[in-house]
Amino acid sequence: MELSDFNNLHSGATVLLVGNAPNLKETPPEWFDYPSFGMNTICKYATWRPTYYTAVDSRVMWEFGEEIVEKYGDIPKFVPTPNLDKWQGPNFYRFYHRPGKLWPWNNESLWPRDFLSLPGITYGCVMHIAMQLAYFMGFSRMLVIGMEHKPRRAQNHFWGVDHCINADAPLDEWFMGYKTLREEMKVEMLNISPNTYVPEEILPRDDWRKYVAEPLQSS
Amino acid sequence: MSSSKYPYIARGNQRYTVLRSQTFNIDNGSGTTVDECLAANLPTDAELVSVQAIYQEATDTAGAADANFSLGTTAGGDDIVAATALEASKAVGAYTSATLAATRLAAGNSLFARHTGIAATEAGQYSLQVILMLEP
Repeated sequence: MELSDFNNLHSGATVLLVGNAPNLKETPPEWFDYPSFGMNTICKYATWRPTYYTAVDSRVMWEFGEEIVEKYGDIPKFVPTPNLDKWQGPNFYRFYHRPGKLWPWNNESLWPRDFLSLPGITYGCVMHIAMQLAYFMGFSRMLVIGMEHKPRRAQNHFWGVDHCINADAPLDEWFMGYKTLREEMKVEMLNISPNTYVPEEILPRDDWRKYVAEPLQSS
Repeated sequence: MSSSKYPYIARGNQRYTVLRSQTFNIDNGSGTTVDECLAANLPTDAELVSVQAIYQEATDTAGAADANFSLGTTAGGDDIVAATALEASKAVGAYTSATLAATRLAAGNSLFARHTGIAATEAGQYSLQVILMLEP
């Protein structure tokens, strides 16, 4: 399968975007029955595997690269080129990390098949990439869990504290990115993470209970 | 300007001169500085047009902002560009523009770049691009 073959592969479907924040424990991803994107250190979540995986930081490659290849060998993994070209293994798909502003200058609302290779995409954080990949694949509704963004708590994850990163993330830039992508893509984006710090005007919220798989709803 | 080999006078933007520094590694060590003289003893007065950090290796989504660069007329100086933080999530070819504290350089001046790094394990490399206009 080529990168371009993912274009509109899930036209009109719902996708679950799974972040790594502490509140992921309140909405375990296995409660939901949608195609999904996992990102960064989601490999530390032992009881669930995403449909797709993405990461953009070299640190993830250096520190978790082997574990991800081992656990997610069969899962399509989307990483930027040339940034992470040293990360090798099966089922890697490499999109071009282009310079420039987040939303393409040509304002195309429907991305052509080769868009991820040329002109490529860019980002402020890995969730920006998951959103754009989902859009490229044709998903029309994006549900986000594991998104917290508590100020001065960027080190906190569902698996513990990462002392090797700064506690401050550029949240204003990330929030503006979410807002830009939501408005430009014109797809439904809902933050169903409980206890989130992302303002509703950036990403509208909804109750996660409405989206869990039916056996859980009836239990 | 004119020269014996090319005796025509450059006009307007043709007079732009582009200086490029070495490629600095962002994670060369916490607070570790690297100084480079980009131009020495300018032959004429000059006007600075822009100073940009051009990323030669992408930066991760956090961490790069703890490194910075400055530009001055003395080694380690910052009278041209004060310490300017680098940026996260930059692609190869992306840039960070610096604010110019001074735009005029008198003949005989020199131009020095200083890179101040951060601790190891942070992705990203960049070079400085200085555009100036030498005045005839």
